[in-house]
Amino acid sequence: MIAVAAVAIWWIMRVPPPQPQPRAVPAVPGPTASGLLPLVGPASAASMAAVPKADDPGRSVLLDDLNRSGGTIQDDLRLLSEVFAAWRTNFPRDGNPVGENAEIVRTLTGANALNLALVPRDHPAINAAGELTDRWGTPFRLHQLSGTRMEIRSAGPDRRFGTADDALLTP
Amino acid sequence: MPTFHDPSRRRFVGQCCAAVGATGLLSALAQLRVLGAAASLSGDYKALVCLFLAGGNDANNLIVPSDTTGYNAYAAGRGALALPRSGLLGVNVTANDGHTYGLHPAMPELQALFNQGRATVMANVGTLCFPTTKTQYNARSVPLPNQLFSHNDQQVEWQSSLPDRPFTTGWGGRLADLVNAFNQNNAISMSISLNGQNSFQVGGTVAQYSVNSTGAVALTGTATGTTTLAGVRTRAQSDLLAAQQPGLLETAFATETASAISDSALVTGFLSGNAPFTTVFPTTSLGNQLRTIARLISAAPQLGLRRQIFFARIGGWDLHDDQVVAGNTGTGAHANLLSDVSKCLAAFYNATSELGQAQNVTTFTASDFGRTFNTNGDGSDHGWGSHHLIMSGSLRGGRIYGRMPDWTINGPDDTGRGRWIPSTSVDEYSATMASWFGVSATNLPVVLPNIGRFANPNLGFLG
Repeated sequence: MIAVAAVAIWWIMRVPPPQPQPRAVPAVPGPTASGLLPLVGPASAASMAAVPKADDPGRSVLLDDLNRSGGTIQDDLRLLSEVFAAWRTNFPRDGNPVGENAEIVRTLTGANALNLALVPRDHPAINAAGELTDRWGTPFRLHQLSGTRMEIRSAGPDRRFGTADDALLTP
Repeated sequence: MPTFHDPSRRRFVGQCCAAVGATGLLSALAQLRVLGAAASLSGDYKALVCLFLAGGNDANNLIVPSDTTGYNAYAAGRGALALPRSGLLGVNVTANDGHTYGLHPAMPELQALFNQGRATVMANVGTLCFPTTKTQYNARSVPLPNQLFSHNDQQVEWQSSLPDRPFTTGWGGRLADLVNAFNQNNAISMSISLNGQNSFQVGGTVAQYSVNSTGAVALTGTATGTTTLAGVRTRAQSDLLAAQQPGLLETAFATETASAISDSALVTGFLSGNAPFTTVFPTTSLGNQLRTIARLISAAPQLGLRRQIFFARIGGWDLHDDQVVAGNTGTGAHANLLSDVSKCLAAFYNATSELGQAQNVTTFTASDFGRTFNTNGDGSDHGWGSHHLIMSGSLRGGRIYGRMPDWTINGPDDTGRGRWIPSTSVDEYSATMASWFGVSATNLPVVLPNIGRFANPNLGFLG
């Protein structure tokens, strides 16, 4: 009886558990807790319809200066880092996108719960394999240290990783 | 008729008694659970040693198929990282896929332990929220571990075995909480880390105690004499910590600090003399860590410990570049790391054998994740499932446990570039060791809350 009474008292007095908050725009299958997005095709008709045109005022300009003539690789790494910061601002519960370069680019170009394209799909730095490349044409190495820290490495002018001319940004 | 809010004295006293009684009953029930776990423990002593390979070990080159069909599939997928077949160290183990296997050429010491039935491999283990197939992965139709392929997150998830929840405790810590009742009047914590604070040993009640390879971590500038400044300062500090404190926080701080100082002196005393074994350990970081663990195991009776959990760690496994030497892939950075592990684990096994404790000590590896099966040129990138080493005198050796992946790039086990979907969860791997440690099937969910989602709470590799 004592135990039952204790449970009853607890049940009456307990604080209701927090209810999960709905996602802002659950328009497409949302990302799992992993930050991985459903594998929607990069060029499906439905998703392509949402791609902003070059003169579209809704087009993200975050990476417009990536690989800009006259800029430096350090400028480029900072721009990329700012894109990940913008991602985390929009998806604070998910952490950075994860996976290979092409998987991360797919997420950044709109394959996400908000259809948010922080990088335009037709950005000139995206190669045929769907990877973001540096100013020498080598895909960046996007090294996932944690959900909030993305180390970004360029192979540098010699286009070989692990050599002295690599450029690195470690947040 | 009195209502629930009747303020009468009789009612008030009655409610207080009920609350106190309920609290006592619930506390007693919790204790009964712990005592039940303790009662189910058999034998006098057991130790569990977690060796964490920080950075993500490429276990695709730790154990390699050596028969023609298997090796050809391996070599086709690995490309420039493939080890030469002629250099593989054959091991007498059976596997449920019909293939024969060999170890990396840098691991002759482990080869001997494999052939003695004292070491083996658990194939393709990894973090999982639920059993997952490639179809489910592609469709995201089952929850996936949070932040797959991310170092810190996967390290924590391996050590908590709760990849779908924010971190609160590690599975080693929960295990310690459960079985600590078996340690009667222990002088120091049963959870000892040789490499600083870690997630694995974070528990609710049992605190992890960090020592370094040369002994306990002590305060600097202390002395036992009474005539030196350091001695006077040490005495003053001791008096301050022993004094009655005005608040709970101050009391807790003083108690914990005083406890750490006394534990430090105690452990230093045990580790200052000659080692009670003749085995010579490599003078590497890992060798020093395992040597200290062996000494602490030898001191367990004096410390009042019948269950101990240790954590050791070595880094350097995140080999995106220069993993192997081109043209001589059995050498290079990865080979050097595996050689160290092989030598140190063999020394540790020999030392525990000298102590008569080999059958009471189980050592296992864990790591952030496996690595991509194909190469990025001269290294590998972040993967998922991986193969892990188990070493114990209680091992049911002679076979590989679990299921090796299909080595086909983009095959049924691959999420891309040879990132294997684990066929065994960290929960199952851990639960097998928790069961050996004495946790009953009923209490397994206390240590591994997600174990009910998986098919095999005991994989049977420990006797």
